[in-house]
Amino acid sequence: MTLLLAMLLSAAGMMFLALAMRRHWAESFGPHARPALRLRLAGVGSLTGSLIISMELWGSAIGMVAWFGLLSAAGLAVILGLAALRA
Amino acid sequence: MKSGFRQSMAWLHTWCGLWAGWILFAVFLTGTASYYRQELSDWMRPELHAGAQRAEAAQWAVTYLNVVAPDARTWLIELPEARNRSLRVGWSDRVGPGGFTLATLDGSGAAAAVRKTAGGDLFYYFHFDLLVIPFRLGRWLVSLCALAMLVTIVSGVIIHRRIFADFFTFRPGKGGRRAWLDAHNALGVLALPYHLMITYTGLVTFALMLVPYGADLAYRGDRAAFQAELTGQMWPGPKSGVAAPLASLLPMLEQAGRLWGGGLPGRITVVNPGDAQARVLIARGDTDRISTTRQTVLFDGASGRMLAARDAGGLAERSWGVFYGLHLARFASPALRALFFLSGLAGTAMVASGLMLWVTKRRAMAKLGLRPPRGVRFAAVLNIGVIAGLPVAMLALLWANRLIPAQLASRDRWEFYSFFGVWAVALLYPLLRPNRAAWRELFAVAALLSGLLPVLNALTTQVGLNATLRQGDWAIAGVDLAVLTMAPVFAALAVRTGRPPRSAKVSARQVEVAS
Repeated sequence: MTLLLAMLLSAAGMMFLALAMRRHWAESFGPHARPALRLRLAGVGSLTGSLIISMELWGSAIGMVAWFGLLSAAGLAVILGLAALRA
Repeated sequence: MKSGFRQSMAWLHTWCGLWAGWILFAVFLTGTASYYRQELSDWMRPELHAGAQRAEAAQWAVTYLNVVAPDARTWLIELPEARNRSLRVGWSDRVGPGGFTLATLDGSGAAAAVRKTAGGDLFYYFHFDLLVIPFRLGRWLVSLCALAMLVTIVSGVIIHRRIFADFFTFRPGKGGRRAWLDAHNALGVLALPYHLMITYTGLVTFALMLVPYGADLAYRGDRAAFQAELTGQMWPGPKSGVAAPLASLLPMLEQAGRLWGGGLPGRITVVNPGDAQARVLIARGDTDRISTTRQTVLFDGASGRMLAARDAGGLAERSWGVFYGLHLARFASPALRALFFLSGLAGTAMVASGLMLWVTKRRAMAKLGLRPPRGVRFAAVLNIGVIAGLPVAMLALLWANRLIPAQLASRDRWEFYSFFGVWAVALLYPLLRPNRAAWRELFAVAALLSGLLPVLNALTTQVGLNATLRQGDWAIAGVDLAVLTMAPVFAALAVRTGRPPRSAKVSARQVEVAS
């Protein structure tokens, strides 16, 4: 359950960070104004949350290792999601 | 050499990447599979039953060894653990390390009629010594390629102009070079910590082979002495000649576990069994911590009294233990293991996309009327034989494991031949076929082999998915399911690579002719 939460948070964090970029925001929401700063803050916040949870889950040493793995997996998911959105 | 820092880095990246790339792809793919080495080994020994108790297993091992090798100098016992259901024992008459005869026992204690197979160990050993003779040559080759990988990663970061702007960019619709470059960048950047970690820690594993000078100077060339001190080996003296039965291992295991705060014992070494001078050395396993540093406890074998305990030594040993442990990832729980596996696949795909990029770029040059450099055809053929051929060969090994009769004495050698034989055929095959057809056909074979493997398993053994899913035997069911999941991926690759590129249908043929 906590694992799922860590995964969701890292995926959400990566998604917020992607949307904070003009190109990806435009692809998803068109010409509407982009709350860049807030998106960036939400992204950093979510990723920090997933770090805290994975350290809670695996202990600080292994949790750190696992967090990098979560970030890679979440990033890949966001990239594939954005590509699918465009297709 | 080109002028300009970025250009020279690009040159370095291209050529280091290309020449090391094929070996790196094979190392990455087999190494990634090795995260599930124990599960693969269990899958390849379907006669083994799950559920051996560690404590009972230790006693079974002693009973067995007492019959088989009562006068051996050393016994070795590797207890079953969560991810490894076999009980491994070994015995040796040599004074000092090595020289072991190994046997795999069933969890039920008898020397089970387990089929002879390399198991997942074949991929594991291949990923660092390529299984070439002499093995030292293979280790040097892999180490040099890992060094090239490190150079390629650093130069890759330097030449990536838009590392943050293109962080999430992947445009498969653009086709050709653009799509390969996007994929290469995304896979490289996203799992960058993993790529750096796995390459660097892999090199550290061979540190003593690559840069032995410091140790050789300090120990006057006696590497065995260096190793012994590094790993804290405590080699007991000779036999006394007075017979004395070995005390029960159970209390010793419990005492060692208490000493490590509940840490699990791993390997047990018994020196001079059956003698008054018997010594039992229990080493801590590495499934519940990152570091692989040796923590050992030494017991008097006859009385069961604890004689000495050794913990991780100096800073050098402790950092080495963490590096090595990170590379092996034996500490990883199922979820974390899956993440390591995923990152490993990302690394494999990054290397593959880099190799594809090299060929695509040169083909594009040819299209513009520029003279393509020599070797494009060579690289294209090798790409097919390695990127599509190796998965076929790996699957062929799993098929051979089920098809070669279980009783055949030299069956492990035939498994070995089937892996390398199939790969050799796959490497030669693209020479005979047009590129696109060779891609399509090899991936189609991989799709068939992976899709039908669970069927073959269910037909030839008692551990088919129908049984393992019902019993909740996830180690073996997991291998079947993972291989099954790959079937649609290979099928999709067969369809994709078989299609001519969307952008340049006409000139594609000209490029074929030109190269």
